[in-house]
Amino acid sequence: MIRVALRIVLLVLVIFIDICVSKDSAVVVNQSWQTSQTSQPVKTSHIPLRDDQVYQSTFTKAHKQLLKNKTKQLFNHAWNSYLDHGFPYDEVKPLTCEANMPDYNDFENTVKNDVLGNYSLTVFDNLDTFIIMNEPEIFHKLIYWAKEAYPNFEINSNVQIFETNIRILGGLLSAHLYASDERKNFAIAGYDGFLLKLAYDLGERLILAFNTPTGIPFPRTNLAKGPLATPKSIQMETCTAGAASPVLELTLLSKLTGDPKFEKISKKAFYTIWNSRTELDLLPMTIDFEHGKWLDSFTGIGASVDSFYEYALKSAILFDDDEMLKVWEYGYKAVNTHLRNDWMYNNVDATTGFIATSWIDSLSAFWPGLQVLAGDVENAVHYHLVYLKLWETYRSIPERWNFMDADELLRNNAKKIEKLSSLEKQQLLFKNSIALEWYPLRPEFIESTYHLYRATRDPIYLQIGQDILYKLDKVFRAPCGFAGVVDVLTDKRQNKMESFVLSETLKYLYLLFDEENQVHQNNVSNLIFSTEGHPLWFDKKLLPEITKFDCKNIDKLLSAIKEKIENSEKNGDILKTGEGINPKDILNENAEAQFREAIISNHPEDMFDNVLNSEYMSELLDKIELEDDELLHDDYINSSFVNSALLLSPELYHIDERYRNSLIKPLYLNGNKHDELAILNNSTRFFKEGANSIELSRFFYDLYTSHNNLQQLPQSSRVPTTETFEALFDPKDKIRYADVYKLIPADEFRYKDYLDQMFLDETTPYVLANDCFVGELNGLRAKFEKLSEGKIDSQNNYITGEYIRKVKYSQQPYDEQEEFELTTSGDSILRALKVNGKDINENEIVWISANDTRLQTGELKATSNGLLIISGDPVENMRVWFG
Amino acid sequence: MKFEWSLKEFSKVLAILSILSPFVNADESNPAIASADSAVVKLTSKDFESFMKENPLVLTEFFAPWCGHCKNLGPEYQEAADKLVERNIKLAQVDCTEEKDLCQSHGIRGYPSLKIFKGIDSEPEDYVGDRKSAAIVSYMIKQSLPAVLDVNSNDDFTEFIENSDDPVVVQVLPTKIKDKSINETFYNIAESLRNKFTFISTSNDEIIKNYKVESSKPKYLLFRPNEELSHYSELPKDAKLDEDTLKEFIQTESKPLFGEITGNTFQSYVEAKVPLAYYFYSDPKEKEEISNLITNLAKEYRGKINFVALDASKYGAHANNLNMKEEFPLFVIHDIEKNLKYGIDQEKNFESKSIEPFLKKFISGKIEPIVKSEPIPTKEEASQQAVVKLVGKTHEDYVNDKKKITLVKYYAPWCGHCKKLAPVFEELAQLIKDDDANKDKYVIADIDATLNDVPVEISGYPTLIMYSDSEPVVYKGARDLESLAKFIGYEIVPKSETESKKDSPRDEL
Repeated sequence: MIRVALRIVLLVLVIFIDICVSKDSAVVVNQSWQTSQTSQPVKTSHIPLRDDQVYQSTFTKAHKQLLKNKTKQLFNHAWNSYLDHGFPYDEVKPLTCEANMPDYNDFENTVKNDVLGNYSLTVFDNLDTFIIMNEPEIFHKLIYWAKEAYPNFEINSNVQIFETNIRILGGLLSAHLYASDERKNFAIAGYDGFLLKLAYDLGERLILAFNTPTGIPFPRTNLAKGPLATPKSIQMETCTAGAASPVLELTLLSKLTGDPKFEKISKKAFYTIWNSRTELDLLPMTIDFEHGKWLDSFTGIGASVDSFYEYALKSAILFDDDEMLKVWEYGYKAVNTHLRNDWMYNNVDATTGFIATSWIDSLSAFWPGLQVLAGDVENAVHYHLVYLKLWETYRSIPERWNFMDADELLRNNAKKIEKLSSLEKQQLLFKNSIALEWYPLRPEFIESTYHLYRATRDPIYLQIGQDILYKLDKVFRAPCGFAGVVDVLTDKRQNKMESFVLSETLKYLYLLFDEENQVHQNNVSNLIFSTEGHPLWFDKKLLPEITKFDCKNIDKLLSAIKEKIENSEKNGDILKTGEGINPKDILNENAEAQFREAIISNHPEDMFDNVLNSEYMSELLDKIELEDDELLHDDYINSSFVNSALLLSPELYHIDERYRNSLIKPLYLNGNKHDELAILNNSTRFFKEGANSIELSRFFYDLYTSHNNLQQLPQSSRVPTTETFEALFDPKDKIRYADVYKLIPADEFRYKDYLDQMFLDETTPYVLANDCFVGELNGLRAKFEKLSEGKIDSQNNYITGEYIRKVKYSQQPYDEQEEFELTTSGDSILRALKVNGKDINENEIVWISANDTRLQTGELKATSNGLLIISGDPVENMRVWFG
Repeated sequence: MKFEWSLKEFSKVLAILSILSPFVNADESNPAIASADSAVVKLTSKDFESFMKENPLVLTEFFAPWCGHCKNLGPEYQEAADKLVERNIKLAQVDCTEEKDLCQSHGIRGYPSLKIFKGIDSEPEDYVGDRKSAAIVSYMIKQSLPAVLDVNSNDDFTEFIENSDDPVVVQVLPTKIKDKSINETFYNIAESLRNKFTFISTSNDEIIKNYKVESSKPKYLLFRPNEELSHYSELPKDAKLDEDTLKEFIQTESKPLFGEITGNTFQSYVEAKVPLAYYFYSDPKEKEEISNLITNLAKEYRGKINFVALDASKYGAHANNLNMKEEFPLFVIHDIEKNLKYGIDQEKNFESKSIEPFLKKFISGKIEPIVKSEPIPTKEEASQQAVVKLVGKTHEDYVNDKKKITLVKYYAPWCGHCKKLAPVFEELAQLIKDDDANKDKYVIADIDATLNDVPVEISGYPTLIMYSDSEPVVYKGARDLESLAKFIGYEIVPKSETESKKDSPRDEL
């Protein structure tokens, strides 16, 4: 196991200032922007959540309305605080009620300066939030203020390309779409596209950073002077997500303005990154933009990689782009093959596929939401659970949660630990479980919760939302907004309110409760949420209407910027990278041809030739269609009486048991007085451990488990005690081609007739419909479970010796040699649980081709009846087809 | 050898996922574990057998400390144990994380598993009641009593019925009747239904007289809790006296005329299988006002329709399952067997007088079931869209129109593949809409399959189906404009040069 030392990839900086919003007129806060004045039914006074009648319901309309209004109140508090104390600067400091500005004294303070560009960040990031919250008048006023205050983005700030792209550019594009597209009912009469012009200006400033030898952008740029005018110390490396993600907003900018350069340049960067993937189709986290070399070796779905996958899928949707869809499909397959584990996606070494770290990060909580969009609802439900457990344990999602080292810690310190009191032991494990200790009220968990609710309508997600809402109000509310946590260990609060607290955390929470919201009404369009929560959509109808302005003026602006860069080059005060590269080169280059060939070819069907041509199989396969694993999921909704499918899921509490040494409540949460649900239940006994599990809160639990239905008894299954391990069958570069197929009977195929015809009976170990099929063993990554006597397996069965013998001798041994091998083999058997990202379900057999030369190597054998034996252990659900 | 293979590579364990050694002890703060001072007895393999020998009736919870359901049961279980002490009914706990073999030998597969032991020799039974202390107490008390109570005085009889929380089933058996099989049938039923009902048998003369029982034939009576004594039901004279008939009588008549439906009672109404009529109220006054009316109707329709009241302030969301809007009060009938729903129109203000005629129409089959449907788009809305928006109410009309070729996209609003297809689909619809020669021949339509009932099996979103004068065809090809057009037999006419220039100002930039 390779454990890679962690390195946070937080990038960027600033030199000095030149505030473009310093005009007096711009700083005056117009009273009418205050949200509470115009917001509809919400009163300024606190609506008490404890409206028992409404609150204790199965999320009736009135109940959701109450929660929605409450969310709006929280938003109003945050926004009005910003207006009063932060505007027109980037943010408001929630604890001290001051404006938050870039750090001009320390340009290496990238943590701060990456997002604070001195460009009224909270405003630009929230223009569309006012549409979502149905405040068109405020939206209207804000965009005209922006028009006045920001003729362009010539601001002397060193900002991160990624953050500026998603927060400002994305915000502008979304606002522009709402202001101009009449189909969405928020179009503003007389709007002339000035937001798009502003976006164009910003886009041109951003793409200058792509002027590198590789086309992979600098991580940061100076908005007024370009990337070369920034200190080298903040330009060391670019992260995968940072380099690839601008592709969505920039492509949309190109489509809307008709100027292709943004799309070309950003796509080149995107595909350069994709083409640099390892032979496992994985992408490490950081890259050297000068030479295009990876600077580290591991990958995950969280920080530094996350939005690469997200934007491949969302670009595919937004622009009907099949190549992007392929990138998503290959990427998703690779991630499922190598990263997906029982309860989470691991960080793995991108080259070997071995697990690389023992933590997951808070950003990865967005993933289940993305899985919903991809149609994989079943996995989304499953992989969302761990974040629920984190939220329940820590009342936050720690930036990085360490889930595995507890074991080691206990083993290595056994003697010391013996002497500790139970409380001290708990503290030790608690500290060990927090790898990075902050929680800035990130939106990812609520974002996924929202998407899951939309797809499943399971009330448990509303219950989670209600809990988040409650904690925001009672725990994180600060004098001027909402303050996250600097240190989960001590519960110390952070004097910072990120713009995403408003534009995502509160927005998604609001949308969760507001089922009638306009974004839910206009389903026909291809509206998606950007990674910063900005609604974006695009279709051909937008073209003629929107691009009413003349791009040529903007070209003048661009040449002015170029001129500036040239001047600063003359002054010698710049970083010399990418020598000899002229901005013109990238602009003129035909990036398109380059990225087209980047896509890997379709999986070669001829892999199956030897099998398809065999007599038996061809007869069977004539009638049975060979299909890829279907990702789309059936309607998940179950509606008999009010019902929560997840609450009755037998595996709901497995995480609690399996990671019990890593899910330790901080002491300050013991006897948690903030558990409103417990108070409502009016029974102090539930203050004990476990009482503040969201789904166990008495009222919710009783409502949704009271069915006297024997099929749905609320019961946990046993946690498996079998050992599992994974194996890679070389060569690795074949993994990407090795799809797992499922045999699906064609409509007219009647399986029973087929068996009769072939003189087979149902016990015959031959290919059955719904079995899986893979080619050769090479290029497989498989996860096995070792079944031995006395263990509980993953299907909640107790393994007996008899069962093991039955599998081993399922057929008469062929000869003495075979008999000898079987009898001398170990007393355990294997079961494949997952092959190349696909779960193998109960009763499914995975068929492999006998042509694989490895079958004679000794470690791998096949008996005459096709039983596969790996290192002496027969595999009960993998068989060799001798055809 | 073509490829290298080594055991080393194979055996590199990427992650051993064995269970961590237990460290944080199951401490006393865990509500799943009964506290030391409670009446719950903690059993281990050492004392399990002897305990069962010594105690005639034991409820045993097999549990795991980490299991959330066990945490919620814990305090209730403890409370029940304390209450049952005086009746010598014991409640025990077995921690299956400690007592693996003991749990395995009882076939425990899930936590909590509740089993009732009556001595060591008989097979334990599953506890299938509610997991609330009161329910556990009453369930276990019943288990301690005989399945059928013999009552010998009219006073006892009256007192018993008045105090019972469950429906009481009475067999009045004149002493002359010698056919033992009759009594056996009654005992068999009582044995299987004792958890939900109380069974009484009597041969008392006063009772025989009071209830006009003939000496040659037993009589079966059913008393519902919280109703007057005179409100009992009686098995019709000519009814057969077999198990099925009696059971059906019990299931039907035990339902109150106008009971309250909750999660607890829902299942029993589903099992009754007769149509279920709901009255949703958001204010108890509304229920009170309508109570007489519905009770009278319920008498009339006994056995044909069950009537229930539903507290909408709590369970209002259930309206959606019945294809109704969350606007109260409302009246809706669910034909459970056919899974069809019939409701009083919610466009008009609800009036209680409309219930009776509605029921008559329902019985005579004169009303149409409500199809789950979004509102039908207005003409204005429809004119703005190239893609025809179908809803549950209009779907059938479109797909059955044999004169046209109709392509329907069934989608879910959250599905990314559907979103990706949306603009292409829109473009196709627009092309046809603008094509005077063909616009009456084709319909390009879509429907949100999560908000509308459609009689089509959908295994994934989006599903595209073409309807015409022959069999419907499911589309499985590429989702681009040309392929879709080809599928429905529509020829895309290339636009003339001038037109295309006019349409795409982009080219001029």
